[in-house]
Amino acid sequence: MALSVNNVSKSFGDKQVLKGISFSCESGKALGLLGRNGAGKTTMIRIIMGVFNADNGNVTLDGVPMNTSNVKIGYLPEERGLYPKKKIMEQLVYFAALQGIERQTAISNADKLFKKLQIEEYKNVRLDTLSKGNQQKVQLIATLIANPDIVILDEPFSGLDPVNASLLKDIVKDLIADGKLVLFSSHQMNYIEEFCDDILILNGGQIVLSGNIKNIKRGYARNIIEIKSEKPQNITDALSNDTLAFIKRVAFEGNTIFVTLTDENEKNRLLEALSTLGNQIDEIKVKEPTLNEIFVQFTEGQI
Amino acid sequence: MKQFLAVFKFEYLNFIKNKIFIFLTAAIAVIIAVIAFYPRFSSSTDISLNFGKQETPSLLVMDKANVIGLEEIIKSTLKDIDITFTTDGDENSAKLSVENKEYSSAVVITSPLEYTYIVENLGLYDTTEQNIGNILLSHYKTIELQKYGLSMEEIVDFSTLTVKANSVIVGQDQAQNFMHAYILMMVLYITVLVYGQIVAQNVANEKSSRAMELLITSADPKNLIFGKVLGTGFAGLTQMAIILVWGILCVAINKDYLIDSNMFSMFTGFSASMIIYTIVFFLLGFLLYAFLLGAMGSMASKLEDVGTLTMPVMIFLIIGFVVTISFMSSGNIDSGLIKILSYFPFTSPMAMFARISMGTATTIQAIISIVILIISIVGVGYLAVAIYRIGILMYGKPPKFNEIVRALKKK
Repeated sequence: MALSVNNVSKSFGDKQVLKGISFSCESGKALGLLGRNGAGKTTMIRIIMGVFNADNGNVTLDGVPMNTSNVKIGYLPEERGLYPKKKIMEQLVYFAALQGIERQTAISNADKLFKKLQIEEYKNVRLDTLSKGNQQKVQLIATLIANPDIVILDEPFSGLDPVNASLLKDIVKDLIADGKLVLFSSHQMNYIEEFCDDILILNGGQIVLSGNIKNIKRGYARNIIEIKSEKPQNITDALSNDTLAFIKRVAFEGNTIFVTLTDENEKNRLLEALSTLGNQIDEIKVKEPTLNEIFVQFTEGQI
Repeated sequence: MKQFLAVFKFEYLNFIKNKIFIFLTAAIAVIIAVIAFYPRFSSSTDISLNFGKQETPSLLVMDKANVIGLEEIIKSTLKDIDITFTTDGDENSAKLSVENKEYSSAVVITSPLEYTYIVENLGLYDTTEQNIGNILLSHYKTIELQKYGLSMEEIVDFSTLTVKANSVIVGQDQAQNFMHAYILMMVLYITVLVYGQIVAQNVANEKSSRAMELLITSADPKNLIFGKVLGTGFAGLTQMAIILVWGILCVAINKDYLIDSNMFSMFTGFSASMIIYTIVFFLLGFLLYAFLLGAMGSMASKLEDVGTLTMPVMIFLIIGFVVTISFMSSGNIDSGLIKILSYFPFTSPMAMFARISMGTATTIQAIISIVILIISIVGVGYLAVAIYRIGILMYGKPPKFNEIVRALKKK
């Protein structure tokens, strides 16, 4: 299925939180939803889930306006929330029942997830007796217990140790492989790059950047070359020659030399200039911006 | 509907399984059992709740007037009191002996019709003073009448004359109903207060633990608040039913022992219609208040805010209770103000209930009041859902009244 958000606006009082947001994503893919705190991500998610109505615009599923009672959505809220004083299985069954899942189905779904997340021994204890990481796993079970078609994960990795994080990574990869539509919001860019082909960056209630991560990166100027070497000084000296007019600037930091070319099509001439130094070079590549740098570039200084 | 039932069941079972709920119900059941079974195992048919051993009071009678035959008559009348009779001493020495706790109290008779009663602390139920007065008066009358040549028998016949009174109550017996109405009013007030407050607290709890984040995205707010209010209300009814059945059972088992007891009439003889009215007014009163209290609870971010937010609603309940009780006590249950209050939905569960059980409210009046109440509940229910929708996603300091109104208008 394809989820499409069309020109959605939303205000609270005098404050316009969303200003004409449009994007779409489809089953079997994960869309990374990025934005600084207060950029409007949670509001966007709540509109998709039907908690708020949009002032303008709409949300459609396969072309028809979405009716949240006809489609199962699993939501992992950023502010974790379950009943701390209640037995875990009991409340999971309740949350499943709210989504129309029978008790037996809920229990067998939950059992599988307990096993997958390796917390089977905690099924029948009170939630507040668990560690933060384990509570988070329970929260994830609550998200997935109804076997939803759309999964919205808001900061799923915060507070998890590396072992648990990789456990969760596998689950997210399984979800995508199973053809779920995944909306993924996080400030940890490495996870976004790992799961999402597409991203969108919200800032000040508007989309400031959206599209395929690879394409976005390729869209940046490719005239900075990164060279790694054990002897950066030698290479820097060799390239700091006025006869090499195609080189704008050479600088190094640690073992990495950054060479700025006047044009990205001058790479051949750079390689020629380096031909005698080949033995000293460990690695040479075009410098691409990291997602972090892109994010900061688009959201810095304004919300 | 399925969703509503899921919420209803969850909230209801929450209560029934709650340890405090079970403990409270058991505690009330035990108290009822103690009251009902006490006469069976005690010699007295009346329950006088005396804690600790009570000593026989002692009384010093100092007769300075030398009344003839007084010693015998006092000793034979006040059998429960340890009496010391003397003609020596004066008021000061009597005072001193009471202060030194030689006697519980002392009476100094200065003339046949005058005496001073000396006691350290005057108890609420201390009738010694009146008794002494009565004895002195009748003894004086007897002596004086004898002077006119009347025989002792004739005097006794005269002084024990009584008027035989027969009263036929055509309408309601307010005196008999007062106790019943009072008890049921208390039950109504306390249950609405307690259960209503619990609804508000549970909503605030869900918000502060952020369970609301998941609830609101999984279920319609309408189902959430309706399920919660009705689930809690039925838990209340369950508790009342358990206690009622237990009470009837206890009384039935001990019927023979209880029949002469003062307590018996207090806790038995509730008519079936009274019980039905209690249930109807509890349910309706509870629904009205619980919807509003639930809505108020939804605006609290912390549990501490619940009290402040629910206060304006609680005030109605408290005023309704206090005014109704004071009208009941005055016996003037059909006057203007209470009539108005018995149709005003926030006070009618108590005011109309009191009028039905004590006053002369007709069935038609009761039905009108109930219909007004039901219409109000529907209105308040819708209002509560609207407030709840706004409240549950609002964090930070509780909103002011005009902010709520503005937000509601926008909807």
